[in-house]
Amino acid sequence: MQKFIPLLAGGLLLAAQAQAHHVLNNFDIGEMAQQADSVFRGTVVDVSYASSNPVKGQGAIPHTFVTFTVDEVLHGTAETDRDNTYTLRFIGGQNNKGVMWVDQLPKFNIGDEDILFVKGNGEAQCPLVECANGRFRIVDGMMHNEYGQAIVEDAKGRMTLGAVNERIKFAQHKIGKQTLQKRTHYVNGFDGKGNDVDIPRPEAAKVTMYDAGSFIANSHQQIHKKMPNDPLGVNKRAVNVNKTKAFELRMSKKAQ
Amino acid sequence: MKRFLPTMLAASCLLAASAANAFTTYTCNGHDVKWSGNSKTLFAYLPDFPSGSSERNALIEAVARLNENSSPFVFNLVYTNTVPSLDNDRTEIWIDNIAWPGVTYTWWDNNCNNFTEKDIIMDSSVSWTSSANKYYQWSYDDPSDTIVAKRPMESTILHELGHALGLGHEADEYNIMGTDWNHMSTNGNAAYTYFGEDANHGARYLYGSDGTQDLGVVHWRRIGNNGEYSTHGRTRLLDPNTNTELPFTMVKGEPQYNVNRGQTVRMELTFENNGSAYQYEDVGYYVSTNSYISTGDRLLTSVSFGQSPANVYTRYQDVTVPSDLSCSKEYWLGAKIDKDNSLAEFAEWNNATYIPIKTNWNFSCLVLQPIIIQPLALN
Ligand SMILES: [Zn+2]
Repeated sequence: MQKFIPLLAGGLLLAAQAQAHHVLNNFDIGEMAQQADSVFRGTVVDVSYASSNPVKGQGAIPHTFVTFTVDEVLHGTAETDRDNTYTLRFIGGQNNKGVMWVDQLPKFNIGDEDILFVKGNGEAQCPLVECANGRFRIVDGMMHNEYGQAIVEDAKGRMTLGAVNERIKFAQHKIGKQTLQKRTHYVNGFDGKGNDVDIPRPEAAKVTMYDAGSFIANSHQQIHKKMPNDPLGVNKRAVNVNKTKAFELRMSKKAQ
Repeated sequence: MKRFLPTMLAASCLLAASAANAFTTYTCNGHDVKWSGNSKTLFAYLPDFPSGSSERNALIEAVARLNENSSPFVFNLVYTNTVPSLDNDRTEIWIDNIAWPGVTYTWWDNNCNNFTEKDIIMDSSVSWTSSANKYYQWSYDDPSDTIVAKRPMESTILHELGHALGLGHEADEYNIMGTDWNHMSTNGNAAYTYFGEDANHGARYLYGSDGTQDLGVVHWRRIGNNGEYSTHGRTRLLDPNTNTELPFTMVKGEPQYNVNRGQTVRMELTFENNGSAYQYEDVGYYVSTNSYISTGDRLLTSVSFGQSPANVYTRYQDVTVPSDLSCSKEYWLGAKIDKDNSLAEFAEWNNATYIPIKTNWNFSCLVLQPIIIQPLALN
């Protein structure tokens, strides 16, 4: 899958500029919250699978239902069940034939602790703002993105992405009985004389990592700054999905 | 307002030296998943890729670039009017209004040994170009012209075909499985997408080697990563004394470095061995009066070095800008790999690239060349 380009109004020019300046590692929590139906902190308590009902031109497609307990709401309302759980539906999962997945969908395991920017649950194939970018992971109390990059503070005090925690990046992920894992292949560097050599890594500077508490506090500030009249998103609702209820996938103009 | 201070952590646990990450594959229950054979039919939905369309051109080029890879794996492209869908046991590509610029849906069986289906959908709402003219592409957008630069469809399809072959995203090398639209081989006004060293390495890891060879040089390099994607920027011209980038001006959408005649500069270019075997590479460094670098240009220096087909090599070469160039004039430094054409390559068009320069005006420009006056011959 290819990454999302921030296409705003008048999009192409902005997008071209954005990539020309290589400021891709910065992200705007206030902007993401504005796009979101709800922002909350939760813990994965269940992952289960069900297929969509077939429609004309498109058979049943496996989906994954990820259920969270909602521990703290930062913006909007997550329409939780009575037991304070909320379920997100993603395309991909398993059926009797095998497994289906998409590269950039976030991959959840039971016990994962996340801050989620929910958008379009029950309709979107990936119901998060900018898909996997709308998931922030809390691992050992510290904040990371989906790919295990630490959330750090840059010299100007902005949130940005830091070093990769490979334990998170290459973690195992369960789909039913199968264990999916991204495997990286290591190569040696070389010195141009035909010799393979180890590549020295630059000495890491002291970095300022966000823990969950400071991330949430900072997010509150950014949300307030972006939406000073409605920081709580009082009228915004992230609908829940019921994993036992039938649903259809209308993904294509060709599958009506 | 009270400011919340993030936790300070000294990142002292990083290793001093380590191997670099390269291509990624996907494992299921501990083993790699790939296609069971070395070829797969790719059904293209004819109404989305009609004959003569720019979409068809982009698809043909992308499949050709994939099929050049140095493993035996190929996609056989078949156009069909059969309406595509997910989970029909056919590997298909079509165009639709989707949330992503391009997406690949991957299916495998319950034993998770092999892929059973891959479906690629390209987004109809993206402004695509299928032109190889660089000024039509995002990465070479010239703000002074009237052309609306767009995202090259070929490079995004090639990225998706990389997924379809079995590769995941890769952030630690300059590679097509990172950011695709600035993974380009450019000489003169033509910019072509290509599979590249890291993805070729991955293809050979999954499907073995077909014994073909290819070398290339580009003016792009890895500058960082964004999530799972490598991010790419132009290679630079550096001051050899300080190793810092020389001053430049953006001219027609590209950095043009300001240099003095006689100045020694450090050229940064990225060399790739896309083939199956280790190669000694013969590289000529040139100065040209246009952006198309060829062996007909003025040779500044020749070097040779070895490169295994595993690790993208962004290399530095010091060259001296000739003192007899004109002042205040645009030139192009460049390099051509395999300049003697001694290696049979599956792609011969990716062997040269350029870095724009402009000579400064300075007092040396005032010095007149001695004029020899012939005495009149009297008889
Ligand atoms: Zn991708």
